[in-house]
This record gives sequence, C-alpha cells and structure tokens, in this order.
Amino acid sequence: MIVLAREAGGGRTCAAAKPVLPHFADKQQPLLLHIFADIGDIVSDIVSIAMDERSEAFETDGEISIPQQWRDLVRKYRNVGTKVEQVWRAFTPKQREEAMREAVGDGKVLENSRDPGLGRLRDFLPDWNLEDITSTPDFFLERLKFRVENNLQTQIFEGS
Amino acid sequence: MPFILLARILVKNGILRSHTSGANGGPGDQEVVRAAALRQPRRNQIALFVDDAEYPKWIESGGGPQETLANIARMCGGLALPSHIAVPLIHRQSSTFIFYNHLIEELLDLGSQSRAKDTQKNKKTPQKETTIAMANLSVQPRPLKVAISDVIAQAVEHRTAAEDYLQLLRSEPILMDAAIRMSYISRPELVPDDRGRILPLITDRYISSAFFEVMSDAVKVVDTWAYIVRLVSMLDGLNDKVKRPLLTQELSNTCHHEYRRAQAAFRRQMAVRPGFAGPRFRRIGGKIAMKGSPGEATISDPQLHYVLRLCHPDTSHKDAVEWIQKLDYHNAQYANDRSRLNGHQVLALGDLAIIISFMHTLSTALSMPTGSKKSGMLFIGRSAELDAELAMIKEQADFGDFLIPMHNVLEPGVAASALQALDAFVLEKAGESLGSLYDRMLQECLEDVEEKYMKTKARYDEKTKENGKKLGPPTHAQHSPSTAFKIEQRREKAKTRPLQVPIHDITAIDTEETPAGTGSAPRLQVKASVAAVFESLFAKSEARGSVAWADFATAMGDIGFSVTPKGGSVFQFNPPTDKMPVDSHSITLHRPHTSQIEGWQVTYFAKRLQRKYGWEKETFEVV
Repeated sequence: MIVLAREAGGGRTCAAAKPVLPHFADKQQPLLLHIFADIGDIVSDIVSIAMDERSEAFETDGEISIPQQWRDLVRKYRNVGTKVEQVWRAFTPKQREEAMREAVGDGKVLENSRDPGLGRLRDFLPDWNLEDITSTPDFFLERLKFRVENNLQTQIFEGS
Repeated sequence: MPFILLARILVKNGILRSHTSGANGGPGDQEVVRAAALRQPRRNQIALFVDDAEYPKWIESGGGPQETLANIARMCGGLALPSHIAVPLIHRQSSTFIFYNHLIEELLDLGSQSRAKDTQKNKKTPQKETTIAMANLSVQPRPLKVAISDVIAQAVEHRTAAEDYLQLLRSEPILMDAAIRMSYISRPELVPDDRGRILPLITDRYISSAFFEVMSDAVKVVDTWAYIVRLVSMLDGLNDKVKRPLLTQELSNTCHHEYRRAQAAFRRQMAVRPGFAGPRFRRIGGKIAMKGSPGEATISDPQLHYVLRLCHPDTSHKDAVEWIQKLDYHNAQYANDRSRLNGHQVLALGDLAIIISFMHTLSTALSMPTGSKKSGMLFIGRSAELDAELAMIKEQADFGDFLIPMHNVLEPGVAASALQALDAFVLEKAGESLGSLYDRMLQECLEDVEEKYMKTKARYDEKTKENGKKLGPPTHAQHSPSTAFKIEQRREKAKTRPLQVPIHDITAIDTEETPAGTGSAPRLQVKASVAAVFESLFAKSEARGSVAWADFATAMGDIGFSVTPKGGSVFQFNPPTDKMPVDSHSITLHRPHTSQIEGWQVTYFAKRLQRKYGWEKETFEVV
C-alpha cells in the first residue's frame, strides 16, 4: 500500500511504500519515492491487505481512496483549471519537467513510454513519462480534462 | 451483493452501457494495464468497481469455473474484474490521480515562484547575531512579586495580541495561508500509529479542517484571554471571603485550560515528521501520544529531553517554567540545535511560553489554588461542550470551493469568500456565528460566576449561622439538552438577548477601511537607523520588505525600551517612562525563527505597535 506524507519544510509531496518508515533523515531533501521499487511486492501487498478482513486498519488507515483523489482533482480543475492551463502552456519543456519531477517526490520518471525502468512502470502507467508529458502542453491537458470530465467507471473503458 | 442490487446501482449511476471505445478513441485504464496483468498471479477474487463508497469491493469468486466470472462481469457491465487485471488497474488510477493532483500543485507553485522572482529582487541582508543585539538592551529580570495591576496589564496585552492576530487573519490572506498550512501539515492524521500507519494521505478535504481550526482557535484564544482579564480585574481589591476563592479557582482553572491548549498545540507541532522529535510520538486514535518517557533522552539528546518534557501531559505549568529556561539556555549555547526547531515549532513554543510565564507571574501576585477538575468548572465545562460541538461541525465542513488547491486563499477575494462561507456554515449548523458562540459562552460563564456566588453566599451565610461544616465550591450543573434544542435556544437568545461583550466577528476586513492610527502618539526623536527600521515596518504592503530582529531590538533599545525575556523566543518590551505616555504598557513579541521579521510578521509587528502605542511612520523624527 502506498502512503503519502507531506514534507514539513518545502511543501513537497512524497510517497513511501508501506510500512510507513519513510526516509526522514534529511528534512531538506524530498523523500524518496518507493512506489515503484518493486512493483510485484507492492501489488501483492495491496492484494493481501485488501483481502485481509481482519485488518481494520485497511478500512481507515493508510488507504488511498481513489474516488477521494478523483474528487480532489475535479475540484482543483473547477477552481483553478484555467490558471493551470495558462501556466502549463506558458512553461518551457524544462519547467514542465521540473514540475513533473517535483510531483513524484524523488524526481524519478520514465524517459518515454518505452522506458523499461522503474520496476516496469510502463506496464501500467506508460503515459506518465517525461517525453509525452513535457514536450507539448496538450498531452497532459487533454488527459487531465478527460480524467475530470468522466467518472471513474468510464475511465476503466475509455481514455483520451 | 445480489446481482439485482448491483444492477440497480449501475443503472442509477448511469454506468450500465456498452463500452467500446472512448470519445477521443484512447484506450481505457483496463486496456492500458494489460501488460502488467499478464505478470500478475491469478487469484480467486474479483474486484467490483461499482460503488464509490467501496472502490473497489473485493469478493471471492469461489474458485468456480471461468464462466461464473464472465457472468458476473457481464452483469456488472464489465465493472467486475479478476484480480490480475484489477490490481494493476487500481494502481494505475491511484497513481494517476495522485500525480495529477501533485502536478497541479507543483506547477502552480513554480508558476508563482517565477512571477515572484521577476518582481522581487531585493536580497536578504546578512543576519546579525541576535544574542549580541539583545545584549545591547537593558534586560529587566522578572520581578519576584508583581502588583495585581501589572497582572491585569499583562493579561490585557495577551488579549490584545490575540485580537490583533484574529484581525490580521481576517485582513491578510498571507497570514491566513501560512496559518492554514501550519495546521494542515501538522495534522495528527499524519502521525504514524503503533503499526506505522498514517491516515489517508493527502486529500484536499483536510484543508477545510485546517481552515476551520485556524479560525476557531483564534477566536477561542481571544475569548480565553478576555475571560482571564475579566476575572483578574474582578479580583483586584476584592476581599469578599466567598467570592474571592470562587474567582481564584475559576481563574486558575481557566489558565490551566489555556496552558493545556498551548501545550497540545506545541506537541502537535513537535510530532511533525520529519523533525527531530517526530519519531518520539505516535497516534492513538485521533490523539498524539508520546512514546516512552522524556527522561530517556536526558543524556543522549538534552534538547530533545526538554522539548519532550514540555510536551508531556504530566508536566505541570510550574515545572514547565524550568524546562523552558533549560531549553532557552541550551538553544542559546548551541545555535545549531536552535535551528532544529522549525518556524512553526518556535511559534507554538512562544504561545506556550506566554501562558506559562503569565501563570508564573500570577502566582507571585495572588495565592492561586491548583487547577481543579472538580470545582470551578464553569469555563472549562462550557468550553469543552463548545469544543465538542464545533468538532462535530468541523467534520462536515467543506470549503473546498475556495481553499483548493492549497494557497488558493492568496487569490484576490478568495480568503474573504472563504470566511464568509465559514461564518454562514457555523451560523446554519450551530444557530450562531463562531464569534458569537464564544462570546456568548464568555458571557454565560460570567453569569455562572455570579449565580454561583449568590448560591454559595446564601449557603455560606446559612452555614455560618448554623456553625456548620465547611463547604466546597459547587460545580457547573451538568445538564445537557439535546443539540437541536440548544441550537433553537441560541437562535432565540440571539434575538432576545443581544450580546453585551463585543462580538468577535470572523468575516473579512478590508485593510483599506481599517482605521489608521490615532495619530495621537507623541513624536519620537530618533536616529536615522531607528527611523529606517520603523519605516520598513510601517511601509505600505507593496513596499514591505523584511526587518532583522536584531535591528528591531536595537531600535527599541534606542528609544529606551528595556526587555524581559519570557522564554521560548518571546520578549516583553517595557516602555521608558520619560519618552512615552505614562499609561503605556509593555508589549510582548515573538522573535521570528529566522531572526528576520518578514512576510505576514511585518504586518503583525506594525499592527501590534500601532494598536498599543499609536505609532505610525510619521511618529519617528530623525534628529
């Protein structure tokens, strides 16, 4: 299970694999992102937690609520969507890269959709890669729009 | 779940329809994760992506033939997926939403940074050694015994400071933003529990809670100090044998209550991770608790030891005086250790130091009974009731339209709208606005005191006649009418019995409309360097820069102020008798963490000085 924590100092968002023993050694540094360290392990972890009915903690603790995250995104888009689009379009690819690397915490992203690294991240998140997200503004903006304008169930079957 | 129910949900949500290809023709999440699904172990479990309340819901497929699974999938319009597809799909959707949410925040952050860089090019002046600057001021040690009039003056000062803070929250979105952030990132949900788990992560709904806390705490602190001022003033010159113990007990309890509040706020900041004290805390339910005992760090990390002592519920306010002194001494000796505390922690420590120091002063002026959990529960009882009620209201609070994403309150007009919404929300839920709730509580406490006095006195008179045994002070009657009844009652009261005390409104104030200084302050003849400091402090918002604490302290010293350290980076500046009007009182200010007065603190310092002494830019004349 993935657990996220916001670093006190810089407002960076960081993620760490369960159990939550994030690398808090240096508060100036963004925390390491362990999500993709070993995708196989984590995926089976998710399943085992999900299946473990005795684990009350799963109900309330450390759970990523996909609908909640989706609602947050929808609300952000409604409140500041126009501004997001302006800023993103005005950015240079270099600035977009900076924002993208900040967004994942440890700065590790796939180079392109064919990149086999990061625990074969491309197998389930091929569109989250440096080349596609940063070279033109539209790639991300189109996906963002689709994600907020369609319910979760629709997104299972359709994409932008 | 019976399929028929499932089907109903699907129809209701408009999900039951054919899924071929998307509007833009792109592949859906299910298709994208195909590669990952191939490598997944197959289990006899199926995930239903139907209900948002449980997304996904896992069910056993019973190990039946593939046909069963296919049937379920068909029934659910394809929203039932075998585990080997469901697991990577869950991962894809959660990663996508988390990253997209973060990316938006980051890009807005970067966008505003690059804008700020274009406009602001002034560099920070190198920091002077704060301790040296403080040495230039004549330090006035805390007197061994103080007059009650001084206690009143101090209480008034703390009330005024709390009022100024509340007013600034209402007029300065920068402060509002900083305060929300301070509350948001220190929320107890992020402290790991025994099993190392934290509560759900980053979801924006916590911003609403943080906003609610910031405003209700600010009002609460104002009212607590207002109540303390009233009680101390009533005690001044009072010789009534019945009333005096009643008031001192109530005063003691109220101070104790504020001490515990400030302590909890400090503990909350210290439990933040990363941070040097963070690992020493864990979460039990929604509360932050300490792991082990503070004494464990005595040798290995003295500074941590002092901090933990100050955080510990067993530490009384009397003991806390000593721990704060030790911490201050340690921080003065080891500059590196001082910086282990972040800005938020230093602020919280300052608040704690203020009440500890006040209680200490109080005990030298009046013989104070210890805090009691039984007698004189007027304020504590009512305050606890109100806190509980507000906590329930907070749960339902959602001001996301204004507050999302973080820092959105900095946009023009947004903070004002958010405050408006909060005001209306509390009014709707509780029957009165946040400010009135606290103000009415204060008024009722004062009525309680009178009522209790009359009753006790009657009984006392009776008993003295009978030569009866000594009686203890009665306690606040614990009748709890239902919430709905209470709210109705409040609405009625609000109409029929308007508040006598000024209402602490929480709606936005337009800075342009706030009355400027009285201008009555006598001119002060100062050196150019001193005038420069105050010119920066009282500059209009656009021109606001930063002022080094050392420069500020030196300037105050030049005017003739002496300083009394109150512990925890809090300093009381005492006005000179010759240059200032005779009725001028001391002012208490926090030394900022960075030793640089900047951002919202500039406005805060200016506001405090202006309200206290009527100072403005024109007050200072260069000789």
